Amino acid sequence: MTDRGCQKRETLESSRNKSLAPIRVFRVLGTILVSSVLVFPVYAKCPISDGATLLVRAAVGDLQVDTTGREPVIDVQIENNSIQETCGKDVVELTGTAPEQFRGPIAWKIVTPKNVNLDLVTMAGNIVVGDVDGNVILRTAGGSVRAGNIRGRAAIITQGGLIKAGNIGGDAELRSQGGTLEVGDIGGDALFRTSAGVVRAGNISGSVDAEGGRTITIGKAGEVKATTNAGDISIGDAARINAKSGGGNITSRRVRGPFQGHTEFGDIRLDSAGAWVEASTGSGNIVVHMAPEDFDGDLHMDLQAGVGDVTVYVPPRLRASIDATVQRPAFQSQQIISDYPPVPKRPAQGLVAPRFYTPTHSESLLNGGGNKIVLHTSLGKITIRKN
Amino acid sequence: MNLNCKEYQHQITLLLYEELPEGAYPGLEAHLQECDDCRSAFESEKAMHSVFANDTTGWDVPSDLLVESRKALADQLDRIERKRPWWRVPTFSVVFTPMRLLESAALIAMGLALGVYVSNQQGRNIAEVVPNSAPDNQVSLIPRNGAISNLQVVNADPATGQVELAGEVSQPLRFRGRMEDDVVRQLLFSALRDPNNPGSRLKAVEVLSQKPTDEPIEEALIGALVYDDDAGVRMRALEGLKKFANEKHVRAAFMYTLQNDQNAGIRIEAIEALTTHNPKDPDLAQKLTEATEKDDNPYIRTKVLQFVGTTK
Repeated sequence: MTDRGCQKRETLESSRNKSLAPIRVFRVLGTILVSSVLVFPVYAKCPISDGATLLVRAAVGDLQVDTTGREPVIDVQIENNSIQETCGKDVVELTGTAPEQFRGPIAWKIVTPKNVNLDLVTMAGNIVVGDVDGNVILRTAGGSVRAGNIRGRAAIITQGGLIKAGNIGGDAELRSQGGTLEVGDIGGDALFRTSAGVVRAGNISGSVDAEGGRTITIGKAGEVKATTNAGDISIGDAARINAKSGGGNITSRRVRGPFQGHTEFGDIRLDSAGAWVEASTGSGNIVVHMAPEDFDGDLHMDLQAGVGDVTVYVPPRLRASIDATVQRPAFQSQQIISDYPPVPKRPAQGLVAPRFYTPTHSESLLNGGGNKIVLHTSLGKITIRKN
Repeated sequence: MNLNCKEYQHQITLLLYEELPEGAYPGLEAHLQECDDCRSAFESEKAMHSVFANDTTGWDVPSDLLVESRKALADQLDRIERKRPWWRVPTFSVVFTPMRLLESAALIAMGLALGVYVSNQQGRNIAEVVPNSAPDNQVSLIPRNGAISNLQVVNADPATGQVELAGEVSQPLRFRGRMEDDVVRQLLFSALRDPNNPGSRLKAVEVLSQKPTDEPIEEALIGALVYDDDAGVRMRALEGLKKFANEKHVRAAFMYTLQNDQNAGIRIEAIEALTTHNPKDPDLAQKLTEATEKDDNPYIRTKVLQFVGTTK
């Protein structure tokens, strides 16, 4: 448009403004009156390219992100709040401030294509996100977070509330101060933290570091480190396990490498242990089925129960020195039952066998001895079976 | 299978009932290692035995039932013995027949019955001599799988050979029953009181949460929510009580949690439950405003502001 054209247009608009002034005043007054009764949503729109990042900083409100958008555009609709948008090439930033007065729940409804990265923060509210092809960072100071399948990495953090996600392609970090963490399969490493909730995960390609407040359940993983204050730890299949529970059972269907486990109260059960095992329980039973693939590896075992039975299934091929002790035998029942004959012990120099001043103890040598297998219970029974 | 195997299989039965004399253990163990048939018989009988054992847990069997049964068996065998000529008495027979084996078992059972009976008689004597002593079936009070600790000799009389002992017995417990059963409830409540075992408290709360409508159970869950040291247990108790957040006691407990619990996650669950189950309650709105004024969690403060907005 030329300068003359612009001047002409301004003159026309100025004369029109003068004639429409009273109408505008009424319109503004009407808007104020209506908006005090009704609340209209605020809309915003920004173009976004593949691989760009949508950044949301909401002072308050639920974030609902629908990732089924087909256009390379982000549509935003907010109820009961205002918004400020910055549409950049690589980053689209949406910022909302806390309203002075709450007229109802604040909800951000965002529609976006799924091939973007998300970095969403709300200081107070729930977050719901559909399937995303990029990476996601979802944070809330309180509220639940639900996400679909994430192809990239995911960091999901809430100060309280449930976190539930589908499969995550890359590394995953899930933290909630008190809520339950539930996720499908994870393509990378996983980190879980919750002080009062349950941790439930599917198959994890990488390692797992989990600290839970209640039960921890993992389908399959590489190396697993799992700790809970109270509750069971159940790991289907893992390359290596280090598990601790303040009170609860520790079980695994199969551990291919070493296992270390301790529970203050509860059972420890390994259905198939491929390498060395160190397990202890303050009160509870220990059952270990040894199933090593490499008989030349380190296959030592140290199983200690305070009050409870210890049962171990040992393959006859194994070279092992088994040392079993029951500290305080039960009143009248068999304390050590073994499929492998014990090494006979003769008391020195014609003395009688020390029946009363030693705990019930048995030693066996398998194939000439080798891997040290120490089984101990203060009060209970020890059973050694052929596997 | 030869005749020896039959004998060993009979010994297996005795072993599983813990009636096998200790001297017979090594022979049986050695045979089981060599003989596949007997080992498989042992495994199958043991499996059946454990099924029976599991099935009978929770039954209250009178302690003198075993003694009486054995006595009846002994009497019956006595009558058979009287009808038999002296040369057929097992002691004098050199042939091993199935009947002979049965007779041997009966003899062992009789011996045991006699032993228990005599012990009971001795127990009675002590009870008569010592006032306030334990009941007369003292031996049967000590389970075979129990462990004895802190044993003390209370009294020992060299003249009569009588000894009085005191101590503690602990044994594994397995009990099955319905939630309505008093014993089940008492056991679960006692699990809640175990300060050292948060896992057992958590499991007790999980089970009790299935029936939170009963008053004592509701009370127990409120206790767990308010007093338990473990955040997981408190959270689970809160989850169990959530539906009843509009009831007076539960509401009070949730308000307490909101004001006092250090875990923001639990406070958030409490406020969610309170606001969901008490909609548009101006009295609650005021109390929530006061209770959360200084809460450091923005979600909780916002949630209250929103709730207050709905009550105006």
